[in-house]
Amino acid sequence: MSSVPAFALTGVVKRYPGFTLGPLDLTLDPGTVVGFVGPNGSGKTTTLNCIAGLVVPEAGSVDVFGHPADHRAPAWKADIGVVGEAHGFYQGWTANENLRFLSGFHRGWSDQRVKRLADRLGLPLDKKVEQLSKGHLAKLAIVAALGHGPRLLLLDEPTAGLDPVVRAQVLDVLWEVLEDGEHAIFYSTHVLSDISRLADELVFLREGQVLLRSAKDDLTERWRRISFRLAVSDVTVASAVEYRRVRAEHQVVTDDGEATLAHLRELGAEAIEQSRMTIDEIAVAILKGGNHVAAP
Amino acid sequence: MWRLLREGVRFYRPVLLTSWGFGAGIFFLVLALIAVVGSVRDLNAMARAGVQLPLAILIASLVAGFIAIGTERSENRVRMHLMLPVPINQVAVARVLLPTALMILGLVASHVLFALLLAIEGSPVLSPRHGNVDFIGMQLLFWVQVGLAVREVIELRHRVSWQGALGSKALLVTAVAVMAVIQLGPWQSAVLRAAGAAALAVLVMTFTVVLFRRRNVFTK
Repeated sequence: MSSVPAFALTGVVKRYPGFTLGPLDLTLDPGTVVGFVGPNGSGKTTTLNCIAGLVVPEAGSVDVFGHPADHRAPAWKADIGVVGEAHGFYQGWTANENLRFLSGFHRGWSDQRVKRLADRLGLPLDKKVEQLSKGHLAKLAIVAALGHGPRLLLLDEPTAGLDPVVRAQVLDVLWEVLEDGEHAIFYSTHVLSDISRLADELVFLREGQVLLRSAKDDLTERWRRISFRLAVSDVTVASAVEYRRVRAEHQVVTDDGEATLAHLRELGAEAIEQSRMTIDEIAVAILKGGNHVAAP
Repeated sequence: MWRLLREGVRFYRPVLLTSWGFGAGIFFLVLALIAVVGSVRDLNAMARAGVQLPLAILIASLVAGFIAIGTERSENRVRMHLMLPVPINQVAVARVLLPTALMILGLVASHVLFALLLAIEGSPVLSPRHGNVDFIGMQLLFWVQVGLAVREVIELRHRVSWQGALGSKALLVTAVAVMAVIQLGPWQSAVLRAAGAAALAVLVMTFTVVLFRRRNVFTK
């Protein structure tokens, strides 16, 4: 496997009126899947557009498989497949005509791969793009992004607004794509259940800044919801992210279950109960809590 | 670049042909109305009006050019084209050449129609008008390119201050003023005027390409 990162953002800054992304340092290794999580307006799409070259940052650099993301020397684009909110397809052409158009520009294009993916997803290739449903449009975007066999997939909420059946189909295809271990996927989404199966790591973004980057398994292992009884009105607990008290019972959300439990035992807490948190609950706690979470 | 352009023309070919159809249809409808309700004098005028058909085709091509510009924008084509492994210069040039190609096709069709009318009528009325068709075609090409250039100036305005975009605005206004001089000036030579309008259209195209390359957001 190549040691060159699939992409590397170094000190990337992009300013819009009322919003600044970065400075952002982010890398993605080949063969890994990173979920990119953040609320609306946090800069997820801008970050993906910077990697895809659709937005040019004011400062910093973007490299894709070691090549600068420069539009004048566009060979690096052959390694990228992008599924975004807008796609740019020719609406008056059929899905097949659009795919044929794309095939003319990519050396690595495989009609066989495209046909297999289209069959797998049930995409009607002979229908005009303007007549495709939202689900079929998302499928076409996936097929178009994978047609040339890119090593890096940038997915910007690819399942947004899709029904559960289509969403499952799309995720199954992505799962199959990952099987060879060669692809890197950067997956931006609000729907954490989508990426909980796929992602190796999660990056949390808020107000243009990375709050936390962590292995998914590490998060689910460390984060705990713990309740206990203690005869004091207020208490400061180690590693607590959220704290509340309901009568005699104290409840905390912690980003280090073991440390918190050890501290509570030292304090003489009683009736200690702990439960694991879902990845959705952890994400909400991180994004709600914000700055107290250590940056990576 | 040529593939981008060729595919673009292929996509807008039905639009161009439909525009020509409408242009010719409206023209013949007017002629039919004159024939039904007009006098003998009107019929003579109608015969002379036959020479306007090639110009109707030219104007229909202008309409197709504007439709192409609007559709490319509304369908986010830049986004798709910039994800292709094609240098940005080629994407930028293909953008300005697309409406140009539609206009050139209209110009060729107009010349063919003029040639046919000349063969049928042999009228001396036709020859001077035929000489003007290139000039008219180049003027229309200039205006369609101004449409694209205005779009780029608006994009520029989004990323720099009002004063920062002043130079580009001034250049565009100057180009329009020069075109007015070419249109209204005392020059008799239709060839020279056509060449002047064509040169100005090429300058506006270059201006658009330069502004596009300097963009830092390509999501629209």
